[in-house]
Amino acid sequence: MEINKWKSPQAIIVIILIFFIFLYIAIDMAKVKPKINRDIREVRKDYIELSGYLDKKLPEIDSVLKMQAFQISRQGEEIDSLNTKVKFLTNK
Amino acid sequence: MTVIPVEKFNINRFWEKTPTPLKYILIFSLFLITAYLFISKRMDENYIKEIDQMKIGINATYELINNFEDFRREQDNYNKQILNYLYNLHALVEDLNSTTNRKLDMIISAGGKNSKDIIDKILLLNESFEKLSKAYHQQNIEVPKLEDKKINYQKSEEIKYSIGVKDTYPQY
Repeated sequence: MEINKWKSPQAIIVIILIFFIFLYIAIDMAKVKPKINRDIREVRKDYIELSGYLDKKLPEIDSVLKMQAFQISRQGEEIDSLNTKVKFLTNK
Repeated sequence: MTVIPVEKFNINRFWEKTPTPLKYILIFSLFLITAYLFISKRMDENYIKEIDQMKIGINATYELINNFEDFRREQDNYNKQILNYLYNLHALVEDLNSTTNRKLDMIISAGGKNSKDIIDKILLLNESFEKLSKAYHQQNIEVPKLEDKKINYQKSEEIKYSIGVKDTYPQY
């Protein structure tokens, strides 16, 4: 009786249903997972490149900021010196 | 001739005639697909969103450095112009000081005898004042106009170039 049940239309319908469920999961995973993996690889590569680029760039940025701070302080000194000079001349 | 059974569909009879292991497999499959749709799908979407955010972050970093390069160039030029301007101004003040002293000495030493000479010296003195005035009103120094552009990590559409734009940056 149980053996006959396996060949019944009901069993075939259920088997087809189960097959489609697993097929859907398999197709979806085969489509989405490689895309995610590809994206992860791409981002990882870009991240490594960015990291190398920043390793080179950050000391440059640091030195540029220091240089500009120095330039600004020199401007301040020059302005102070000029003010002193002008004050001295006007008081003369 | 094929006879199509049109008797009413009965779920109990359908279920009765299904083999027991298949019933368990079907229930397991239904649980699996539900879990897949609710958990795995959502996780995948989050992964993709996270990856996109990282891409935007990388682009934003490049854009930030690019903006910094623009700022550096403009600020550098501006600082040099200001320093140059201050040096010139300083030199002019010195020049004016020495000219004024020399002319005053000459005027005093003339003792009011040579009025033409005195007028010449005063004209020369005025010239120095004009020079100084021109230096103070120098128009060729431009304050750098930097764009008030903020990097927005959330809006990817604002990023106009793709990853790898750094190749176009000047190499140091």
